[in-house]
Amino acid sequence: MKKVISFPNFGNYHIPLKVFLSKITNYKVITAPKNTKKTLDIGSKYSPDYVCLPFKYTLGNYIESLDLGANILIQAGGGCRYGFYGEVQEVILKDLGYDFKFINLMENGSFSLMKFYRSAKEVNPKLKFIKFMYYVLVTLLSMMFMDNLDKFIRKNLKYEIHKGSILKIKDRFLSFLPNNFSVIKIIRHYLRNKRDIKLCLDKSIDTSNTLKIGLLGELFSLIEHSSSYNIEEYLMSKNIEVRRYTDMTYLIVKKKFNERKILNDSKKFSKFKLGADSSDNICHAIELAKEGFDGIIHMKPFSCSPEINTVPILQKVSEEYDIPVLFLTFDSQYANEAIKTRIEAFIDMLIMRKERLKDEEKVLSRS
Amino acid sequence: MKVGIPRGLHFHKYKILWTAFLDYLEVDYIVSTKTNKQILNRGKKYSTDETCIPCKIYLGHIDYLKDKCDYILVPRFLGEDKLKLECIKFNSIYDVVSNTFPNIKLLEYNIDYTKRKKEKDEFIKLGSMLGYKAKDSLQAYYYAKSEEEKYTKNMFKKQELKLKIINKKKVLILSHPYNIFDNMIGKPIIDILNRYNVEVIYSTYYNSNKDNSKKYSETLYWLSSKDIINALDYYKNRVDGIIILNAFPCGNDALVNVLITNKVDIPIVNIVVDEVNSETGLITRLESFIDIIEKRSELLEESY
Repeated sequence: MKKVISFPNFGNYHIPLKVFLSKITNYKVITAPKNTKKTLDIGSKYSPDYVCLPFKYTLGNYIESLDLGANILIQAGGGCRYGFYGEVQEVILKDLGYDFKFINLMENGSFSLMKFYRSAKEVNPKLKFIKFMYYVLVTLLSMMFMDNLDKFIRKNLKYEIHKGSILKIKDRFLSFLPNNFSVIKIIRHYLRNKRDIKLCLDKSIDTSNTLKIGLLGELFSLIEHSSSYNIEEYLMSKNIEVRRYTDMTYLIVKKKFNERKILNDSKKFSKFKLGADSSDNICHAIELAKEGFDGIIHMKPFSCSPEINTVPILQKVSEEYDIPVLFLTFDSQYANEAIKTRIEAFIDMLIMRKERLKDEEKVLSRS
Repeated sequence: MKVGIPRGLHFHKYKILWTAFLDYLEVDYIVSTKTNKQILNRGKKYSTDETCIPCKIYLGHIDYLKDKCDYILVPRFLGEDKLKLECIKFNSIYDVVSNTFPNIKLLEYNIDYTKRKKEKDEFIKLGSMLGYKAKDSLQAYYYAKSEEEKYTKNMFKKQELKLKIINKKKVLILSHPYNIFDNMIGKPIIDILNRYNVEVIYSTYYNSNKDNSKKYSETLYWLSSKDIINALDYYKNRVDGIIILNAFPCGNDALVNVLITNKVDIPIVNIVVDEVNSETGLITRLESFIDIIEKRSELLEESY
């Protein structure tokens, strides 16, 4: 039987991951179809009732790619409940009568690279360790470059001269990423695209009136935009500067080094580490408030316990630092317009607030 | 000085340890009343809409205690091992309480495997916060530990006696201690079962030193869920039916249930307790469940 590998959707990271998996295994790799309402419907049909939303999306992804002919599935979630997803999903899919091999990269509650190597070796006995590590390095590099480029775009989109030009360059960057899958090529590819983006910017544009909004919350709804109604794209299309901390680079690399700083910064509001990304979110909320951001949008899927615990503390941060926070919860119901109305109202409120603050400043400076 | 102990979450697991520790040190303490509607409503007022009911009840108890004592005991649990973690709610309950009630003083101890400190050390710290020397608190801790052991042994013996009764149906309740022993969550169900002359077995008390949860799940890392699975493994051949009791919306239990229900071949019912609960609905479901059990045992006897 021909072997076909598949894995769930997670932002744009399927692009480097697909190349990576096909390089180390020599099998065909297919990405799951893009998340749609159908994915969610299938996923929630077969999941337990009140499990968190990412479970439903990933289960839907698996079923859709199994229907497309995949027979090796990969799960690599870790932390909070993600680490336990794999086993339950395997049981559910086996009960549905699918025939497949499930590779769970979690070992003893955390991601294990050696286990990954061992299971890759099982699939492809010719694989050498050095080659494997090289491709891991390239994948990590390309993920970091993707994140860096995204960060740069989010920060500088307000200086864009012709609307839509930067996003076109980003699309080009992503679509040619698979062709540049080596250390030197990927660096060159990144630098070239970044230079192109810089050429599209005009730093002299007056941006004193653009709003600045920070996005905080649970990682899946922040990275996989389809699960959070594409809020980030919507804000960016409204010419708002968006700051988002959570991305793959942050989760894999930065978070481990930041631990002590985060505990220190959030000490005023929390004595202990709160679990998952909660402490990080509080620390980042304080940072956003200090940097003069206009508002924060906090997103979480329904029944996400670490973020539910964050809510009372964030409310206090909002009170103390005088920064408005909008709390959004996403569930398996599809309510695009309702969410949009709430965000529009939030943006209008922020604009009015900004004008009021400006007027007050003027009055103060006159007197 | 008076210490308040809220009757919620881990109280039901550690009640003997805490009260015996304070008794030995002769500290005055007060345990909040059993959960009632008023306490639930108070908790609802202070908590986020989406938290689980046990947490809402816990905040209600804190609100009840806040002007009745000087300090409130709110420990924080991460887990004693990487593979024996507590639910993520327990990681942050201390900070949630301290942020929702800024004006009260809290007593804490912290079970955290990353800090490399044992329960003993944390109780010495707790004792020093109350103004006692390390020696006294250590003695109190060992006394409390032995009392706790005695209590659980006693409860386990009682349970074994219950299992030996022949002409009564036995039902195992699978849940966390803070669900089973709560007055609003588990008590109504136990009352109904007793009314129908069914013997209730709690999953909290079982006797096995071996961790059998690997048979059911390889990657499970929650201590409380492991306890449930071990109890299931211990009792499953000696009871007539199983009730899985969940509080809404517990995601951990939702995941674990999938693994349990597949591997057991006796009648099993999943009851989810919400904050709006009607007794009539509960009675209907439990009644039909008991009917199923009785019918099944009749059929089994006939087939002999």
